[in-house]
Amino acid sequence: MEPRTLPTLAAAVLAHPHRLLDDDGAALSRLAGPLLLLTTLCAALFGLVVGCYDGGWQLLWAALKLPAVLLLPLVVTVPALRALHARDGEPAGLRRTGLAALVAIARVAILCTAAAPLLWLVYSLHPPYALAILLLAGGLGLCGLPGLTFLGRALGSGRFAPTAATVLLVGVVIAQTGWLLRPFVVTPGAEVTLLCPRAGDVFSGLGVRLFGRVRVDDAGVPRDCAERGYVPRGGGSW
Amino acid sequence: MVSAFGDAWLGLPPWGTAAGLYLLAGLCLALLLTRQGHPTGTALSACVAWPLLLGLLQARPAQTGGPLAVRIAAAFQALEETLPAQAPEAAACVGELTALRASLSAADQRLRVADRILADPCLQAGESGAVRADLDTLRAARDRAAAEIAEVLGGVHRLRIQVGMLALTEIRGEAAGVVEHHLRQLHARVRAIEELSSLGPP
Repeated sequence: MEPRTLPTLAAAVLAHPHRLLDDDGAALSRLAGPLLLLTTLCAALFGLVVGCYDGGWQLLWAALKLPAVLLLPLVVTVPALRALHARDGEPAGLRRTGLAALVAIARVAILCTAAAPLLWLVYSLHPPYALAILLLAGGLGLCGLPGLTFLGRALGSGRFAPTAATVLLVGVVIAQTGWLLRPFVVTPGAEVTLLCPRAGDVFSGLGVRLFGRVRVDDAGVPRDCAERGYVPRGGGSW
Repeated sequence: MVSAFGDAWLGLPPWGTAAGLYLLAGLCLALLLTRQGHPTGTALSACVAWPLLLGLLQARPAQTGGPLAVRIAAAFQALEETLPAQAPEAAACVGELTALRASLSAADQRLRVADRILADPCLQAGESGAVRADLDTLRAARDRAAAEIAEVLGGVHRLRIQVGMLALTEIRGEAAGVVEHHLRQLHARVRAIEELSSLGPP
């Protein structure tokens, strides 16, 4: 039965997403709007929780940017997905790819929302900055896996290699998009801004957090903030 | 970062230009979708996620053909156009050509049935090793059949080239014989696909 409300659509996306991918190609027209709305609402809610770490304007910025982190990578990777799942020399259908991508990212967004209370609880305990970043990245990775696996399986009819390639490709693009649209958790002492100056990539950034190469002074301010172009709160210099 | 749009265009930063063009493309698609009678929500979605909705501009896929239906139609249409023009004496073979096309289409339909089974979420989620093994067997058989059909289509293309070469050398009398011989060979291959399908897994 066709889901008629957002809650029933969310239930369908979680319980039996394959049934939403019909054969007649009309489902994309019916479901695109509701799926996009569901994704945006869920991702914005998750962003709101992420913004709680710093509060203030960061609540708004994170809620605005999180939907873009989930949606932009799919928009960018559609041609690659079609090529990855080509069969007999024919690329995967545009309608099926579009619908599968929307269902998959809605699944990721719903799972993120489900995990949001746990993240909220942890952030309310004021964990260290590096741990907060790693929790966010790990949470997104865990919530993203079921959605991206579904996307790979829906387009690849269960073949392992294209499914794995899909998860890897879209996962990396989501991670890098998140890096470009950071900060979601603001560096201690830094001014809350919509976007950070572009520097490095997600792997080098996470590597720094994981292997503890951020040098922090007694006030908790990272010593390389000025080098990375951050502006201290209230102007002036570090 | 070097932008494809330069440093600034109409006073906008490079990312602003790119975002503006993206939204413009989305707006165009939204207008097209509205004219086609799609729901308003879908048209609005196109403004922000138009690459995902480009498929709505395509005609809905025909459900009668299998995964290779387009290639089969293209190959036979090209041959049917070539034969009367280059080898009118081979016109008698048109009946055989139609029969070959029907056999290939039937084999293609069987591929579609196999694809539907392979994409069935209930079977995908099956934990049983036996089910998974059966699916692997079906997938292998499906891929073999698809490869055979592709081979036959290659034969159809080669036949068309041969007809063209015969027309160039002006050995017109032999065209009918060559076409007939080739079609017989291709028929034999299609029959082999049908026999393989009826035998089931080895």
